[in-house]
Amino acid sequence: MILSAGRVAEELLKAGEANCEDPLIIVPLPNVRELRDSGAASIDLRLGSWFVTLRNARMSHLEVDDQEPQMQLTKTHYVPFGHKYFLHPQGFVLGVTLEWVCLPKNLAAYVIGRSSWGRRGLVIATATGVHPGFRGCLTLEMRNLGEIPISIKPGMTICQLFFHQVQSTAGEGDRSMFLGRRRPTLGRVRCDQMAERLAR
Amino acid sequence: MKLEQSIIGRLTALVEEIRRLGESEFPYPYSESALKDLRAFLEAVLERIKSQDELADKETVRQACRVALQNMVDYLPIAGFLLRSTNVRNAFEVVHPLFRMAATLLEPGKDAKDANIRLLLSSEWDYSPFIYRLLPALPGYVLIGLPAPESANPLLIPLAGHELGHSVWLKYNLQTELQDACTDAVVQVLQRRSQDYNRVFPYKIQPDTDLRRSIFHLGQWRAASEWTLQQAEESFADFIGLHLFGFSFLYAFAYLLSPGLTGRSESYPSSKARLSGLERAAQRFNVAVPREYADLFDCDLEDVGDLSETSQFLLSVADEARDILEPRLIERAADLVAASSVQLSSEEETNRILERFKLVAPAEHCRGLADIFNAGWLVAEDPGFWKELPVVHERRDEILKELVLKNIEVFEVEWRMRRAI
Repeated sequence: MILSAGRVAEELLKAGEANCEDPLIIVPLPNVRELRDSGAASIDLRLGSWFVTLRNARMSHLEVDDQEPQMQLTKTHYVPFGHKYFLHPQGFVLGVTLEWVCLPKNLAAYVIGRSSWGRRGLVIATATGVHPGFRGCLTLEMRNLGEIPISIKPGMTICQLFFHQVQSTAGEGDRSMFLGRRRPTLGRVRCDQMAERLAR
Repeated sequence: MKLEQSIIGRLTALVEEIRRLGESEFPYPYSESALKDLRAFLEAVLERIKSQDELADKETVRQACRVALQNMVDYLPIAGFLLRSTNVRNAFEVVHPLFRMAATLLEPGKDAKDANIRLLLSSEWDYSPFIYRLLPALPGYVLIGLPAPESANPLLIPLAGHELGHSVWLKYNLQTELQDACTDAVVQVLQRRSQDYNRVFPYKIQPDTDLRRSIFHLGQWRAASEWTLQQAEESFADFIGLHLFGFSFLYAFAYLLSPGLTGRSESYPSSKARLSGLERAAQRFNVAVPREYADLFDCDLEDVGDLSETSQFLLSVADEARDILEPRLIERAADLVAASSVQLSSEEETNRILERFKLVAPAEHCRGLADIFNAGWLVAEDPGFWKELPVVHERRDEILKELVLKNIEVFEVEWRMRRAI
């Protein structure tokens, strides 16, 4: 079941209650009144200040089963509020949400681009699932599919989050390496046992 | 080869290097403007050398070259500092809130946007956080550097309070204000310890000796007075840092300085004196001192055996004189912080933020930076924190730093939103 923005607003308000042990938290807090009145089924999130690009000139290709430490593959950029990042046609950059999101065990979410951006060629987040128990800023995969450069600014609304109710709430929740980060993260591609055996 | 040719060559290379540094990505405007100011300053020096007349007196040329060389020696490390201020390992989120705190402290009553000071946060390849003071090329700049491996660690930012303390010392010309009191304190100690004095110095204290006026005696003990003032400045800077940031200053201080190295610097109070001074100031400022705090430091390591007997005596006099000045330094720090409207930490607010940290979430509507750091240190000091969240607990230190920095960014976002209204 997808939660309406109004229901999300109610969940966010629970975070202020003393007896709520596992609330939905989004900081900076979206405008709860606007959420209630929007009639939407998602909430907008904003672009943060950190960006990560791949050091294309330093590698022939990405090798997924021969992991290099992230810092050798990527370059980090910081764009302060009021400044712009120019994403050129076919350019790819990892961004991050301004908001720090904490999902309770009974909620999952999907990050989706906004249509107003998509129609201008900016595609956001191709790996969209956010698991219950996630805490941190969401890494956004951004690509300019259009023909002209696009300027993006920290603080602008960049994507939307759809929330889903999760039936079972057992376990700790998200155990991913992306937990608790404020900057975009490349992460590691893990080869599972089956893939390793197949390759032998 | 003419004498000035090598200086012109080296200065030109330095100016060109600074121009190249200007092509870096600047995360905030102060480093860029500092580079421009530094370049303009050195270009003016270069121009002065180039404009030396063919017929100029040889000694005049030599003197101009010496001045230029001194400028190069002084400002090359500054250029490096400015370059490092653009490195993404720095805690950029802290820059604007810390700048506002500095502006409120150093230019009270003025809106931060009208403040003349500019703050540069960078890193040092050195474990002693360092502030460059009184730089003629960069008037109004406060330069704060954390050790490079720790420059992403927000929990050490409270140490910037010590560096701000030095800026306050300069701003209010406390050296001049305290000069007489310092001399009085030193003379008081010397008179009390006249037997020791007479043992180490050729000119002895007689019943009619005026220690302040006799040039023979002044020459003997002047160093003690200089060290006392230097130590007083260091203590004052400690007290400002403590008052601004509360107990997080004490934790950050211990993290970086304990257990302490061997050897003793004359311009710093002994570790023992710094600790007891911090404890006294903490009592005055209502700051809770961590339990068994003094045990973190090896105060007995500070051997002065390498110093001559005379220097040992003078240093002990300086130490005692600083002790005499200490209550006044604490009160002066309290007055100057109170005269500004810097938001000081509160236990209630720190606990509120700590409750949010339990949920691995930043707190909203924070009142000041100090509470965020204090809450951060409470987490850092509690090994059981987040134990019920094993994945988070496994990466506790890393996640804590991220969370504190995010909280500071949220603090900044909320400030910008309020300002816009």
